[in-house]
Amino acid sequence: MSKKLLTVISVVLILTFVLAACTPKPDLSKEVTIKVWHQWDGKYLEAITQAFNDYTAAHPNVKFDLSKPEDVANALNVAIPAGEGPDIIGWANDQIGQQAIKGNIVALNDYGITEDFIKKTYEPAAVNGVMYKDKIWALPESQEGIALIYNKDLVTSEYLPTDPLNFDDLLAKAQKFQADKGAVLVCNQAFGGNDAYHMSPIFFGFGVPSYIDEEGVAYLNTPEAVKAAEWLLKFKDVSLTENSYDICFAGLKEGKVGMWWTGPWAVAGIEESGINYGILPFGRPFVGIKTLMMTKNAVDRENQDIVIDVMKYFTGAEASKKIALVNKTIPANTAALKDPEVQALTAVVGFGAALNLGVPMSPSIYSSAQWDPVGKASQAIWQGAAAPAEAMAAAQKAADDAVSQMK
Amino acid sequence: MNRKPRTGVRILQYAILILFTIFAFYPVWFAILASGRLGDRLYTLNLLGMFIPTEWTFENYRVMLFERPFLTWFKNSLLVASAATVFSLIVATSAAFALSRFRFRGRETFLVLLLALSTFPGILSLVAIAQLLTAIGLYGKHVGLVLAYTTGSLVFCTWNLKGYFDTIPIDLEEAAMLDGCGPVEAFTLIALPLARPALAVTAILAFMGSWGDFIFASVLVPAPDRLKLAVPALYSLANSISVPWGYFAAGAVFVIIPTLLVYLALQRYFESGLTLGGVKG
Amino acid sequence: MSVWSGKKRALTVLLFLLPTIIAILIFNIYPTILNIYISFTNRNKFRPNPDCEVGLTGVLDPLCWPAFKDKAPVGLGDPYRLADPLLKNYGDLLGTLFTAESLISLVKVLVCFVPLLVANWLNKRFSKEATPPISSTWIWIIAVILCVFLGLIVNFGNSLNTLMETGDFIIVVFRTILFVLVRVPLTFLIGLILALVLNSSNLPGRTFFRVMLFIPWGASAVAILMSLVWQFMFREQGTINQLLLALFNIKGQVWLNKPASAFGAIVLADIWFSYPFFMVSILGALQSIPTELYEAADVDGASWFQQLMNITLPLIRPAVLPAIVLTSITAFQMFGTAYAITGGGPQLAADKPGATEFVMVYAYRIIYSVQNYGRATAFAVMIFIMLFLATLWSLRVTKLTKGANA
Repeated sequence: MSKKLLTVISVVLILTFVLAACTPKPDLSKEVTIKVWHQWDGKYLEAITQAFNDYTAAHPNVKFDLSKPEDVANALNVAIPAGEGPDIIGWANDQIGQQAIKGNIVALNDYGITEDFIKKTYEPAAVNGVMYKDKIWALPESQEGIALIYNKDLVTSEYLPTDPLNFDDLLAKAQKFQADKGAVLVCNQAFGGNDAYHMSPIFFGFGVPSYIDEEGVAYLNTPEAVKAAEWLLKFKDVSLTENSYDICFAGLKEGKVGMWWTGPWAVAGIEESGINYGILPFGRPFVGIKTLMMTKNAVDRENQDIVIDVMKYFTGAEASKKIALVNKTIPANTAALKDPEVQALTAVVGFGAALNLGVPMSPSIYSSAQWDPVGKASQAIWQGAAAPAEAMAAAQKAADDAVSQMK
Repeated sequence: MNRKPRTGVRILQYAILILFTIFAFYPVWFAILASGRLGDRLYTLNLLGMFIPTEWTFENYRVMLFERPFLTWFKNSLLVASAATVFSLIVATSAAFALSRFRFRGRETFLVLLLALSTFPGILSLVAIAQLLTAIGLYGKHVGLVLAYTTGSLVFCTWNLKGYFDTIPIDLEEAAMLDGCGPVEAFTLIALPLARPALAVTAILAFMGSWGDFIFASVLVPAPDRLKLAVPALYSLANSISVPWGYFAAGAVFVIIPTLLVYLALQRYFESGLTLGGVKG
Repeated sequence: MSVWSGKKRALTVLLFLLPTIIAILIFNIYPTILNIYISFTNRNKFRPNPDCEVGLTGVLDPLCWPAFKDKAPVGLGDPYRLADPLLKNYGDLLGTLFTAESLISLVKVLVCFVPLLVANWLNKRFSKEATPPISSTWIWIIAVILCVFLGLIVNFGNSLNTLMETGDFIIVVFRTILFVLVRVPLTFLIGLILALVLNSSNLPGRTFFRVMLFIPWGASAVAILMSLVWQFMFREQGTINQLLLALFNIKGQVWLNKPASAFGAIVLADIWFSYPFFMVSILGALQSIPTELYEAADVDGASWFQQLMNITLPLIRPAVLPAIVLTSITAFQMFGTAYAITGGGPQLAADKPGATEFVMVYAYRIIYSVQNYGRATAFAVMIFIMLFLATLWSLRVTKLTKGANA
């Protein structure tokens, strides 16, 4: 070939390489430590840490620093403006509204996550749970809702309610159980405590659409809510006076309690204790979506590409499946959920049915106003400090007061 | 009272003493017993086990010391409390000396101002302090916490030391100054050595204040585990979903026993200190 | 000191005081000013970020300072502005306190305590005379009877209920004052009894008991952890209930679920933490009383009780009274014990504070759970004013008694 043509071809080739090198490709090769703040507890944490370790094995330049602060909301408020915050937050989706309002987390639409992508990858409830004001704020990793985990040896079929929305039946069976066996049928850590989350199957089961909806309307003194409150008072007679996570767990192990109203996080412990357990969906529980959010600090530190990659990996089919198999949680990733091994887990089948009955937790800011009034009202009712109707009226007032502060 | 009381009174006195000794000691004993028990509950359903160690195992201690970062938390608390005490003493002693020895305009006002400011409860100014430390860049770091503790115990230390300085006669220092010493030398060479007992007691009290503090530490150094202090870390351990009470008890015993021993060792000082220089509260 | 003068002296003083002044300016005065300012804004969880153009926000809020401004997060929420009306937060806390009905109730409640004040004043006047016309015990008895009588006339219970309906502030403050009024005298009494016993002569084992009885003071440094241990005594299957079952076959109730017993539980735990302080101060004061006084009283045939009332108590008063006043102020600010044992107590209603939500517990909840900073700082300012006045008054009392002894 002529020298001229050779020169032209070489120049073109060189230019192509240079241009290729200059295209903004995610630079996944810098040495970085990703800070993760989370709320994962106890046994859960082991499988999750393993997932992060696997990522580091595949990408040796990325290390993780996991920590569980005492009070994430307040810690974030001070840390993020200082640039000391985490890159990723692992948190429930009801916090999305608040954190978005404050500007602590960033909308993922700006970083390459499209609605198409999440609709294809995740379950519809999970997708709804991470969208707020038409933007995507987090990637969902698991879904959870509570159901009745019962001791099959103790609670034989005559004591099992058949209709998940028939509360009078549950009450009758609980009375029968106590008369026959001298033990309590249902233990729920919200009985006597300030825990609106564990109260949700009862209230929503009676027909309350939501504690506070997307527009900020509270449904706490509707007739349905009052009926639920009255049922609660009646149920007190067939329950333990003091309930907590530990008391319920110990009761279940020792045969003093037939059923424990709790979520997938307790399954690992129950399996370890060797109880022959079954899962019975009851009422309409809150369906919470556990998510991973990206913070403003990650963007400031220019870690956003790595963070998005990590988040996609963690909520991707492979990692989700691994975590689900160990922790017995329900993945939000559709492929992982439909995987036959995951579908074979009793927990997934049982809790999955509960999720179908459930009410999704909304990411709007108003949902943060619902916990306190409902929790305090149910506690007051249980401890006999207020009559059901009175307590719910007070709860409605408190909820309206809180919502008005947001508007 | 020189006379020996009647037997009846004696019995009553001993009954009272024994009753209150049980009252005083039982909670600590309970924690010690619980730290030797395995299990999910801090109490046991075995009534006797609440009073004597029916079962004892060092498992809880082993886990806390070697598997959980308890030693790190403990070390952090020691470091932060010591640093805060040292700084506090330095600042408070010089202020107390000046307030005690010099008569200057506005002295009374300054004293009252000190006292007034100390009545603004720490909890409430915590958010502002957290924001301030964030601005300086010290949020989440031990240095920020040390600063917060120093200023927190400043007023108490200053009042305490001033009260003690008031009881030391000025003569020695005046004599020294006639001989040509400056005020700084008088302070460091004469007043400080004389004030040693008060310095020791004030130092211990300031240390204990920072050691056992919960709120400031939990807000200003919330994460990660390797930076947390002992008391807030143990408290959050007790507040997790499924509480490992045995571990909590082991950690609590580790934190409480040294505190007790220190206070007991200083008992004498408390009594004399109380009737000497000022009123502690 | 007269040796130095003028400028050199002023500089020296400044040098000694400088670190303290700087520390106080930055960590005490500035936060206080910021808090006062925020109490006039509507800052809360949903309006967390400052609008640097409004009022003094640009100057006071750290997020508005130049070094910081671009790092500040900008969220979807509105920035906070001055409250409208300006005193809204204070109004919310005080509720309907300043309406005619509530003020009348307040006056009624206070009027019931007037006889006690009158009795105190009368006693002071009469103590100066050699033979008072009426003995002091009679004056107190008459005062108490008048109090009860007045209470019945003005319907004390009703007025109290009306007051409690006004707003959060009164409820929380009243509850805390009640706590102080119960806890401090009980602690004093226990400290007095123990000090008297420990002070008696010829007591074998005295040192052992002194050491053991002193333990709670040491534990009070880590009050939060010990309070968690205390909580277990009161659980449904805790120590107290198990003891009751074993010894008396009574099935104990769940102490922490009822307002009155939860209150009592906290009082008990707090007494455990604080009685050694009184015990030690009174013991020290007792040891400075010369024994000749008691011997002379013995010769005169005075009984044990008369000696206690007429010799012991008046002579320890100068040392003990400041301690009582200071402890009261500290007890008012008690946080750890209540928070760890009940976390604010059995809930009475969703829109009211819990049964054991004392001043500091309420403040903590408003700041960290509800995150309504505007309201929290307004509360802080009001409490600060109360505590400040109380401290000033306590200084007066302390100086008074010091003057008497000096």
